[in-house]
Amino acid sequence: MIVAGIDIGSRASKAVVMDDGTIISSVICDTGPESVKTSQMTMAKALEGTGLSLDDVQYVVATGYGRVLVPFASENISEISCHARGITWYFPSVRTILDMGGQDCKAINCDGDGRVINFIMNDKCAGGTGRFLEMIAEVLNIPLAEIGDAALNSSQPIPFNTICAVFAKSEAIGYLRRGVSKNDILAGLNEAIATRCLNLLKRVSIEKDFTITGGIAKNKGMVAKLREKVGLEPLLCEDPQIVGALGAALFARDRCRGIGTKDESRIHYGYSDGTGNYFITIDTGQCDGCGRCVPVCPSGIFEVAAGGDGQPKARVKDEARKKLALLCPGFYACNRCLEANCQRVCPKDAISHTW
Amino acid sequence: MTTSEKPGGKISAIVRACRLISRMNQANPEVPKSDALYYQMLANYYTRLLNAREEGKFIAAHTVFFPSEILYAMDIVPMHTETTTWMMALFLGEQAEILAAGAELGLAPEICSPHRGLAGAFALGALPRPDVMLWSNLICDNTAKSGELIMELNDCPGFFLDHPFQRSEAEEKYLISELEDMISFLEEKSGQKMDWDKLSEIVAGMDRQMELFREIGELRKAVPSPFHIRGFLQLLTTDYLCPGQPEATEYLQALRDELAEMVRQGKGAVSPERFRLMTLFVPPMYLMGFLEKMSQEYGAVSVVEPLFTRWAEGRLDPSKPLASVAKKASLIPERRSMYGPLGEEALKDITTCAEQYRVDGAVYWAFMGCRHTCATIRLFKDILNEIDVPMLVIDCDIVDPTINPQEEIREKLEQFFELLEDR
Amino acid sequence: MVGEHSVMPVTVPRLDKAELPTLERFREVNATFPKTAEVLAHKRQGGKVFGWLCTYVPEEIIHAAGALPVRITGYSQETELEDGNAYLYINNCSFSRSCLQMGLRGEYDFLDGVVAGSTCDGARRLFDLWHYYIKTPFHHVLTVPRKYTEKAHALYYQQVVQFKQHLEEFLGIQITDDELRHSIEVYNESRALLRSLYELRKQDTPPITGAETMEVLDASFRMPKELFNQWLNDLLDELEAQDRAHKARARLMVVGSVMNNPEFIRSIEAQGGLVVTDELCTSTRYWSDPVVLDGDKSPLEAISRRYLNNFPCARMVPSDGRFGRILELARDYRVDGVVSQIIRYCVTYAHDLPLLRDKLKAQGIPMLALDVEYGTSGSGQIQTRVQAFLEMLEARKKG
Repeated sequence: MIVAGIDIGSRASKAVVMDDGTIISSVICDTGPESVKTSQMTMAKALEGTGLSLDDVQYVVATGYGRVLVPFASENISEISCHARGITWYFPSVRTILDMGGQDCKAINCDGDGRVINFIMNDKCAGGTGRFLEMIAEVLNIPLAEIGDAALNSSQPIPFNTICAVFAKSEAIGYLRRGVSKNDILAGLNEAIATRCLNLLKRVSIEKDFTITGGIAKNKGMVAKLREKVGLEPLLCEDPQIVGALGAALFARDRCRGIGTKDESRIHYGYSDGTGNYFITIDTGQCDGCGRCVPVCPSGIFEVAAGGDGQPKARVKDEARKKLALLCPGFYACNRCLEANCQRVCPKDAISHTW
Repeated sequence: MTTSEKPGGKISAIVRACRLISRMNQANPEVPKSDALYYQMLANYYTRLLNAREEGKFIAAHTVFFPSEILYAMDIVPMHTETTTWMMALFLGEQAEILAAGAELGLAPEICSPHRGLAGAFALGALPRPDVMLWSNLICDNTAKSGELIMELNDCPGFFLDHPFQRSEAEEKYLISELEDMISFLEEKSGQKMDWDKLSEIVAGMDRQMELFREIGELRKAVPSPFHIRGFLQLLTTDYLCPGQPEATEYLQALRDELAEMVRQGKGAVSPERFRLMTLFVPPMYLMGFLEKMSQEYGAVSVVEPLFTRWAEGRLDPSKPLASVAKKASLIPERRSMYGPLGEEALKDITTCAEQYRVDGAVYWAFMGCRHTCATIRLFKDILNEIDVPMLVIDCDIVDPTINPQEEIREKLEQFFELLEDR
Repeated sequence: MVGEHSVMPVTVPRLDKAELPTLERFREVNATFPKTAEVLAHKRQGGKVFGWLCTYVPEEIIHAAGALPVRITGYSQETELEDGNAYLYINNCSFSRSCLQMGLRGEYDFLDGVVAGSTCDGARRLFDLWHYYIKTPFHHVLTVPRKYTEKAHALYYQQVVQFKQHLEEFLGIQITDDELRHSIEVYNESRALLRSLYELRKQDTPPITGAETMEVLDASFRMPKELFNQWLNDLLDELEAQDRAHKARARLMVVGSVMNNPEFIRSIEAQGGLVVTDELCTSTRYWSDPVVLDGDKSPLEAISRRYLNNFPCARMVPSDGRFGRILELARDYRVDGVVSQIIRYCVTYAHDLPLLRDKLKAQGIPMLALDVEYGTSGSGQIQTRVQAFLEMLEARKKG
């Protein structure tokens, strides 16, 4: 039984392919500007050399901020659930997870089966995320992969007043100009970020065992600081960056074994960007495949095809998915100009737009 | 919740710091006598709090603008929660720790930082455990909502004092009945009786202090103005901590005399005096030293703080002590435009101040945690603009230095002084 | 990237099928508010319209004066609030900024008066600035005590009397007890009808979603109550005639500050969580308690008592009153989880959050705390949290 999990993060995309109980492949790629393309590329790379094709994969679960944009995924599950699920593969004893990702930071409590008990996400600011460290690495002109070791070589960390991404950057530039060593600047920032993470962790509960996942867990300087702040030795898995994708793959395996149900019968097509979410949602639980939406769409984006259960269901055509923004004017505009449109003609109320 | 700290540990550190400053001030002939008296007063206040448990005294924690005259009259030891949190920030530099503890409780960052901090300080066990918690809606939603979490953290009972919003006879009556209910509550919990004679005495002292505040305000109209920016905070703290207390009267009298002498000699707080400023709201506590330096450097002096140091006209009557305590709440400077409907008189007072004090410019410290004051920024700017007084707005947090770097604040002030210079 | 501060695109309510034509009419009211056909018609006939700012303003008095009370709300979606920010500064809640901006831009220029309560800092400052910069002809603010003591009731009653007198003076009329009794009847009918609507949501598969309910609620304070009652009756008939059944991954309750955008709830429900009840000042807290006319109480006394005793806002002391009613709702509507939505800088609710979390936890009810801007329809980050919360609730159910 071949299953896969794919995690489209804000900075990196990860995929894990499993054959029953074994990971047969895992990859990490950069997330490009187009999530759909990124997901296809990441998956292709994960299948490379395995002798498998996408058709051989029975079930794909997508996660990460781009999870709704993976065209070949059977289901999507939030990264919070996936990290909790994924970590149990390595360490069933973990109860507290700090996931430090590209654009946010999460503290999660879970049980021995990888079920989430409580979670909290940092909000409102990029300070202390992967993106933030990238920015600082750029300012200091040190390769991202080396900033962890550099911080460890600090003799006297510089105290940072703020980890607001904007202020910290100017503060760092200021120190650099004054000739403060890069190592000390990095160590100071790590200290500030670790304090913030500790506050996040305290808002769930800090229980043994403790682990750090996400890209930042590869940064030794940060891990050392967190160990000191939290007062617990973090269990670190081989590749903390793929934990989300691994969790997704484990959920996929569960589904194939008939564990858990895929209650989510709504399928989303579309994309999101800085201006908002642009999704068309088809509720396949409601859709009876009547096909009335097909002729009314001015751009002809719909078709009716056999769904997962073999029943006819409406869906957005493959070729239309990638350029939905160009093809669909959105319900608001469409409804102003046209008497009939997909949403109005659907007798089951199964189609909706977010814009 | 972590309670590793020895209760009162921080308080004794504050006491040590105050005593030290007071002693140093006394030894230094250049420092005015009032400064030593001020720190002595602080040291006494916190010593009483520190020893209260041992002496079997009843401790009441209370929020800002609370009538602690009643507590003094009942021989209950008051603990002013916001000021105590500020003191920790000011003397001990521990704002990060207590703010983090507040965040850990799940208090959102939009909540006023002293209030987040004081909940954090209680959670850390950094403040002595009060026997009761007293709080009120004078002055804002933060004071109105602080009490219950603190009661829970300390497992103590509490009383909420409901201040009416407007001024009418019915509302004044309501406030007096609230005060009566609170006294009954305190009598029941502490087993101590209200000493009405003592309250009359304290009200008389308060009346005297209000007069002194007004006299000091008058002296500051002089050109050059004799008062330093740090003094502004000292005036606030005096009323917050020791209303109607002899040591407060003594400090205010000494200060008044010193200022009168300076005015007589034509001496100013800065020399030469170049810019006379109106301060709106409060500058960050942790910037006091920095601001004083800048004030000297640029010859800029804060001459009036309409929101905080300008007491309304009116006397207290020691023969009607409870009505006087209620009346005081309507005379405090903060009552004019910070609580109650924003009336025409309050706006008029801002421009009157600007004229009477010959103000060159106004600096509004926009404390992000104080929503109801920031909502007046535009209105004040508009009315000051009409009389050609420019206003600078500086975003800040009054206890948390991580929000706005000092450099940014310096830059803004320098630009403002340049603008004033050009006029 | 999904920006946290991204402005959401205009989202209009989905046009529903013919099955609920009345819901369509409610949507029309919301889509055209504040200048709805009903408000304009009322003005054309020479009627007066008064805007009110908070649930502690007794609407019946305005109604009994023959005027049309409408609730002042902000933009129906998250909007750039340049003017709101300039006047109220960025640290007052986006609800008050949004309302003020609409006022500054003339969207409420048809109002003859604005009535507020001293309920929270945001509301009182919104009222202050409205007074100075928008200058509606009639302004009134009521002192609203924060307690439930008899003395507090006496003070609030005195305030209600004063408000009535001020209104009578302004309009040159007398409001009689009979008129007040009639208004109480109309409003109580409205409350009873909304209760019937909420009763339907207690079912295993309710016929109406939380988002749809919010659309009805929004209309409830934007149109003449008599007409609203008629329509709501129609809607209840339609719901009965239909065979609607909404299944849920989890039954949710939304608590917290003001909210008017049904899209926010729709975004939760699009993920399979069904909102079956709520504790918002634009929902249950607005309509839940009737005015009780009994024995020798004058209608004005009855009104005054109801408004101070109503389902409490977080401003009231002690907070246990509010917490108790939330727990009661959670039990009655069999909720699996609570979503707290607090508008940033709504500190009254923010202060209650740690205490409420503990109370819910003691009852085994998990809570997801979201801080939002007024008008939001749910950003990517919010959707991730909601999804994770639903997954967590499902995992709990499966044990």
